[in-house]
Amino acid sequence: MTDTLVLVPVDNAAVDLADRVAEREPLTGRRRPFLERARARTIPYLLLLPAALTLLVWTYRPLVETLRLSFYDWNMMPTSDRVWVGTDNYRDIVQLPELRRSLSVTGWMMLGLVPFTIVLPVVISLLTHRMRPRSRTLYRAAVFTPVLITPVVAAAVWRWLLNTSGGAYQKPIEWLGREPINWLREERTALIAVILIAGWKMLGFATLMVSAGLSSIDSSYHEAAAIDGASERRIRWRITLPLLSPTLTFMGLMTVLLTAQWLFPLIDLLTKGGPIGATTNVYYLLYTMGFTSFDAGLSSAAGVLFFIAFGLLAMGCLKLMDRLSFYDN
Amino acid sequence: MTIDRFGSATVMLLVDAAPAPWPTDIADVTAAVAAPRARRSPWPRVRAHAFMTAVALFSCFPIYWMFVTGLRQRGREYDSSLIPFPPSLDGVRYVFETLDVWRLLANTFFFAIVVTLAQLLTSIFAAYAFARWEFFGKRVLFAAFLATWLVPFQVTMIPNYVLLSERGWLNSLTGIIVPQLAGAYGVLMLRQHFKSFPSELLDAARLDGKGAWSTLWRVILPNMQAPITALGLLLFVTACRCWCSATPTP
Repeated sequence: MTDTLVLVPVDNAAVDLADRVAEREPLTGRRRPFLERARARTIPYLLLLPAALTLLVWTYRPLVETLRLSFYDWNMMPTSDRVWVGTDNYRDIVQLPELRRSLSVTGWMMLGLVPFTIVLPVVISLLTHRMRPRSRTLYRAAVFTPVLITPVVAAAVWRWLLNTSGGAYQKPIEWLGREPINWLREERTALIAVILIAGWKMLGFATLMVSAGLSSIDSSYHEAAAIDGASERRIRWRITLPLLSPTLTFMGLMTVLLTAQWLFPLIDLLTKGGPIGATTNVYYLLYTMGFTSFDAGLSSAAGVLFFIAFGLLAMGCLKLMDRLSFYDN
Repeated sequence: MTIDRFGSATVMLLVDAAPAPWPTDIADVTAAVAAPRARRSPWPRVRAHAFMTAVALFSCFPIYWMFVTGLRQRGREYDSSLIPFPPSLDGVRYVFETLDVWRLLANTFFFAIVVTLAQLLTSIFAAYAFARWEFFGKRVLFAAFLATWLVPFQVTMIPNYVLLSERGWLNSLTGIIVPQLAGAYGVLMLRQHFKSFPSELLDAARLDGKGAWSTLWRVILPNMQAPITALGLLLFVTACRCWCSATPTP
């Protein structure tokens, strides 16, 4: 992780300045006494303390605790004992058929969301970019509105819309003379419905990111290419999209890493992971093992495995980002 | 470089979310002016508007449906007419009769305001430290902040639940506030802004004999209102919608 994450060129002037502020008297430039310098050195640590402490207590401590719990058999009751079982939990989890199902469901969800986090946002941004400011703002605001709706409300509204007895989105199917489809209750369609609803909510955020990326592209490239006689289509494919690639790979990274988490509330509210596990992704499986089956050991073991897997995935994505991204410099 | 990319993406998010202090808007305008409009045939424009209308409908229809359903008569909530007739406020009245709405709203706002203010403060401090100092362990600490994105709620929920129950904080506002007093997102975003702060102003502050603390409050923050407002709004909205609390009731 570290070797890919730490290549930050530090703002030398600022650091230099801060050091000078810390180590020398402001006007005379005289070196400060040792104690004062030592105190100045602790400043960044003191500033970091509140945030670092919170993350330590509520993110890293539980991570270590999860690692420990993963070697025990425990039903989460304070009265019952934790039994050391070694790596049994890991063996059980790998052999669990639900895990394989949930992995493939997670994969399909990531794939299914790519149109909503990358393809459509690019199309929308490019189309609206050339419109007049007023219609551009209007369209982008319309696309952004679902982001403001909480998952709880979104799930309720979509349930009404997809309701088999007179839901608004069943009407077109009725007009075609077909039987209404129970989107969320049928094994074949539940995954599609969940992806569609999640995509509806994510589209606005992704469009915001991509349009921001698009507006920060220096327009002189576009002008230069236009003067050289390049067609609109050619400019779009050879200049705009390559310059947009850092944003797009970033969105790809977010899709891969965060969809499983983002989809969690929607899955819980819409399908409870059903029917027959058709919409249970890896994190929903974790949640059911922890808080429905009360199997803390198994759930923790799965959590540790997912953390490692997503960590590796993140590293892979970051490497890929460095390869694919094309920079304006 | 990777971090810069994370940062720049968050900066971009802000540029659109609030007026930036630096002239990004001008770049936006020139880009819009420079992009030539289709002159010869009206079809591309018509097509673009048709497509965008369809997308806007897809996005907004469920929200329209939410309002419409709220205005239907009791017992007719599942009607599928596009306009509720006759409209009624019975549903709204029912909600106020059966639920203590004001209490729920007060809880939400109290939680969201405390979390937002706390996260703003912790993020400002941490971002200031990361942006202005070189210190031992900086890289590791920064990577640790970033890596919290890899730890999902479902991995930390059981140990956090145990800790909260040991403290006796289950079913209390404290129990959902304390775990969220800091977050990595605000730190990463503000760090990017702090790094781009003009160093002339810092020079001036130094000549005035200001220390690190008063430089932050008197020089940097007054010039950082836009990003801080944007971050505050974002944190507030996130906190209001917060569904995955640290205390899921089994």
